[in-house]
Amino acid sequence: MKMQWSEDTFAIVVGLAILALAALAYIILPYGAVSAELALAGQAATFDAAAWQPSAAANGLTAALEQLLVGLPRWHLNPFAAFSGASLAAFVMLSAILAVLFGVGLRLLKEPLAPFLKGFALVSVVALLAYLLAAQNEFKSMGLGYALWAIILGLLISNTVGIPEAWRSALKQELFIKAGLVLLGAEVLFGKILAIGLPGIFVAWIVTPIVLVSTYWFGQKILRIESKTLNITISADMSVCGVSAAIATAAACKAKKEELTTAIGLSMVFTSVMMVALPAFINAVGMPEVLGGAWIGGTIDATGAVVAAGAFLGDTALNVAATIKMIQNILIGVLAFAVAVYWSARVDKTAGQTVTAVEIWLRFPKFVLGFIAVSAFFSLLYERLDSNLSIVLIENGLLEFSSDMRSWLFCLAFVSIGLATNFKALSAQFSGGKPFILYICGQSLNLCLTLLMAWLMFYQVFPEITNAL
Amino acid sequence: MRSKHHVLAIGLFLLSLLLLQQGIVLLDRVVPAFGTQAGIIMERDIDPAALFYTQSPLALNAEKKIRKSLTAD
Repeated sequence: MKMQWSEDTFAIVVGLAILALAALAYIILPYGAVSAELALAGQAATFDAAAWQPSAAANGLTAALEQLLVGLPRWHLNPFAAFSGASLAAFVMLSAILAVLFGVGLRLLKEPLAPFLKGFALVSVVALLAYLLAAQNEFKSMGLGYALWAIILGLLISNTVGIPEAWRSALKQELFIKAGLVLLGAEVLFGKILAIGLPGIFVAWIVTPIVLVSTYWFGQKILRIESKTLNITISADMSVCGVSAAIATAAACKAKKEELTTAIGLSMVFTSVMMVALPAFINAVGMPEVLGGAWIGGTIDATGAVVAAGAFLGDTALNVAATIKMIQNILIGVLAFAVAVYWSARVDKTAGQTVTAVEIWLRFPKFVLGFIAVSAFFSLLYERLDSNLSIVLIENGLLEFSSDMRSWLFCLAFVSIGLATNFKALSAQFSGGKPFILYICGQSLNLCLTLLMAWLMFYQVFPEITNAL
Repeated sequence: MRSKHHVLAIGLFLLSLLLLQQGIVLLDRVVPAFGTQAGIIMERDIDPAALFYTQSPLALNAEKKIRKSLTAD
């Protein structure tokens, strides 16, 4: 029987191919060398992470992979200062490899290759410009990242000069997002939810779903937002962890590109304000660092902004805030799966229709399975390896590479979204200001419930944990 | 005529980028909380736009420090 390729299966293959290559370079080759060394040293030997050096074979491959990563340094007034020969070479090589990879996929999906390649070159150049703007000193300090710039630049081009119709075949936002989400699966390590014990689970895993479901209900029943996909994308984005949760949810419920753009825009604007306002308020009222950190970690959307806000209060607040946010990050796996199942079984059916398991399976976005499988595999691997080895090989090795690749794929997706969107369709999302009201009401509930739960858990139920921090 | 509009739109975009950048500089000077936050971000090399904990070395270290504090007791 001949295999039928779909965008979902191809996204899984691309994600797995990148992860397999990264696993060979960062885990399999180095692990072989470590095992051989430990076997020679005898049974009593343990792995010394500080003294560890990767083998020559692993070194060669990792060096080759790291040359593909597009990283631009901060710049102030002269954007050309951010470019070096190495960064431009990385950009050209990465774009060429991805063009080949996605080009093969396009042939399998029986779509023409030449216009895709031309359009993909444009998307890649705009993605590089988005990275460049995100590296600007002031923009960076406000948390205005590549996601925002990619959408803005795409919108600017599509609503002014436009792009040739044939090139639109390169605007594969869903494919780029799905492949990126399969890579994100490797970063969703379930063992991390125990990092701070029960208080962390209560603040991040009990409050968050309550806020998510309440906000979605509020959007449907009180605000009567017409689009359920817009409602759930904003609710997830606000209650879980911002842009990454919005991407995962939007892909799982097949939200429109304008809806994802709206959710991301709201998240970025409110995150930039909350990142400064919340720690300033905590300082002003003299709230203890642990409580303030837990509050920040449970409410501010983006991880980077949580770290910045926590650092404003002190090291203890930073550590608590970042750890709570990390536990919340892990919720993305459950969220994507739950939304995909709910949409397949409940939302995408006609009134009075009974949905069978086969129909749910047919409607279910298959890339979510790739995302969950990758997450389960790396979670198990992380727990099975010696803890020092897990840090050296997975956290500081594979994940550094895969998260950079994932960021680039997301950036390509956001550029594609911008290039495929017109201002009229986007402004229609904001009619009546409902998305704003939804975000503000949901975030207000989030602020109240998180503060209450953090106070209960860290000061009433588990004060010994607070004392130990 | 169309190309004139395009040049104007791109010019306005570049101007708004410059205004935004200068606006942030002004905000950092006028509102102390913004200035302090910008200073901390620069000093500790924080990327506030990091989407996930794996993109922030400080977040990864935070978890290890928390685990260490809790297991030390």
